[in-house]
Amino acid sequence: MRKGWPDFSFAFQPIVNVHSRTIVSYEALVRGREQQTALQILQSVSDADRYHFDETLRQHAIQLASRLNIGCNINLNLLPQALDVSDSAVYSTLAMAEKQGIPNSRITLEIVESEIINNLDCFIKSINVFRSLGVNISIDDFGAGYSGLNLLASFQPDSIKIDMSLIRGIDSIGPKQAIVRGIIRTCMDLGIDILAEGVETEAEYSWCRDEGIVIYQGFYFAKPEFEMLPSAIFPGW
Amino acid sequence: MHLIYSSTATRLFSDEDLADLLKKARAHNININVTGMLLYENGSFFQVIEGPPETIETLFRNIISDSRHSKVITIIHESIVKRSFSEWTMGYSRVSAKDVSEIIGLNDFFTEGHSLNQLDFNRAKKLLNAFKQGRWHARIQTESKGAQINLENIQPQVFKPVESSALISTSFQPIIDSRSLKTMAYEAIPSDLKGKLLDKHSICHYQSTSRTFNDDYCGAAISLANKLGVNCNLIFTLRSDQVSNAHTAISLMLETAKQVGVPPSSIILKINQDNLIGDAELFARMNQTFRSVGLKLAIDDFGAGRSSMNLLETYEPDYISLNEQLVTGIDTNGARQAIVRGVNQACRDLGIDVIANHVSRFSEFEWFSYEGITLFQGDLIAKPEFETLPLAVIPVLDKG
Repeated sequence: MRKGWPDFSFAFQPIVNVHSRTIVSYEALVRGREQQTALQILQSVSDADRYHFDETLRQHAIQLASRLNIGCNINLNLLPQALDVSDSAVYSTLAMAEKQGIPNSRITLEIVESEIINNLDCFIKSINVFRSLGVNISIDDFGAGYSGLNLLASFQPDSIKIDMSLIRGIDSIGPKQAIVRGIIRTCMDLGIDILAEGVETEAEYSWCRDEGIVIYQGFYFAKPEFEMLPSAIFPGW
Repeated sequence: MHLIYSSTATRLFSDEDLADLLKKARAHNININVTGMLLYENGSFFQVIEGPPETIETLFRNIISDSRHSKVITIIHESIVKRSFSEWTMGYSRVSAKDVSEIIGLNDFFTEGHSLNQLDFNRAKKLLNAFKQGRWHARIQTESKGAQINLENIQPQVFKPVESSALISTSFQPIIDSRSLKTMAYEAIPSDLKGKLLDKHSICHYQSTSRTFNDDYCGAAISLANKLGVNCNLIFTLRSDQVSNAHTAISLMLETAKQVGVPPSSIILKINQDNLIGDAELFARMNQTFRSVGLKLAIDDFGAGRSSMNLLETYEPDYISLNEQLVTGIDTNGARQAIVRGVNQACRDLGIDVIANHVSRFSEFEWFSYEGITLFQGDLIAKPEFETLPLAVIPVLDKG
């Protein structure tokens, strides 16, 4: 571990498919060993070191997940700028996965929407290389940032994660319902999978389920657990 | 301020139950200066309440916690020019599916087995408009006709108009409605005196040479349009140099409009969201003030750069104008088509009209038309012309 870096590990949160009633993936969420949040950990790393740290996180997450005998996919976060800074940003992740016997097709890289659009052409070029190697790409916090649907004109990811700010209270807020229906419509046309993030209540879940969303992440199903692969609660029919 | 919501009754209401509920509501509403109406059909409620913002918010909090209904969905919550139901402390009607099916835009709704609780923003507005136009007025049961209440009307601040800058004039470009075959608006585009359209960069140049540009351009353009005999809406873009001073700029514009006899309700303010990031909430609040006098709002370049779907929620605009990159060549680009379909779907639910801007080819016009979009702007319709209201050419679709 590099000097000055915080002592980190990971919590894992299940991503569930309510149709097949299975856990399809776990998202690795960085946490401090002294209960620091992801934000606190990331802020304690200097700007100069940020992308190298980002790269190291993924390698450690894969190691830990493998030690915990992960039997499904794993979702890892990626800062898109890391691709510009280091050639090994993703290759080192894939190398570690190979060492642990995890095929590329079981890896999903999550990229925050607002961080992509600064250098879109460059991003698409490098990310397509990894897609050709079987890696899945997901847009995180979709609908929260500045770009939204129009990003999909130039880049179609394998999936999007609808931001929790849109999901919160969606069962009772007409405008949010309209926006999410619009997002669903576009993604279905483009063959992009939709995940509803941050689902906390049965009412939020029911609304999303009625609109045809089958992949979920949120406290309603399971909380993240530190250095564990927790099980999930599936809602009754 | 009015707030419209729907909800589902937790148990069936008998006529007596409803009479009791209405009696209590009316007594309470007189005291707190609230008016509105209530529809009940087969276990679903649809209610409009109007009154001062704080009162409405308090009342709505109480309504939500009422155990006699559940699934309370806020459909519309916005400032209004005047009350629609000022004579009713709480008008009430039991509607039938057939009644509602007579309203254009709702005729497929109840036949598909929907209930009032499933009305979305757009359909709710249609229902509301039907009431405003007097439909079922006779049937509405009401008691206290005497309780007339005046609306707290928000007046724009009055500013003295500044003499027009001599360096800039205006070109106009029409926006058509292909369904009514009418020009629905002219966009006012700042131009130099030779008729050259000014882009953002050159406007900054003019701004530094003419200090009054910020404040008087829109006023001068309204006067010009009025002289040219404009009889539809006018669209102005709130430019980046005006954002810091938007309240003054808009007030002044409305004041000029009033002086030359153009109603605020025929002015559409177009904003580019890139200019507003960081201050979106503040702008949305200010915007509510102006909208209560009838000013309409459009989001420009939707689908470009930083425009996001959640702007539709923050601003609740009347229109969005699609970005050139989404429009150009849409007839052959699947991804753009999917995006416009999604945007169009959300806008339809929200009662927002979509303007296909920068339409330059017939094939683009055709694609948008088949998607149900009817508002068009672009060289195919008419190019901007200097100090002239150009005639629009409305393309004809092959009905075969």
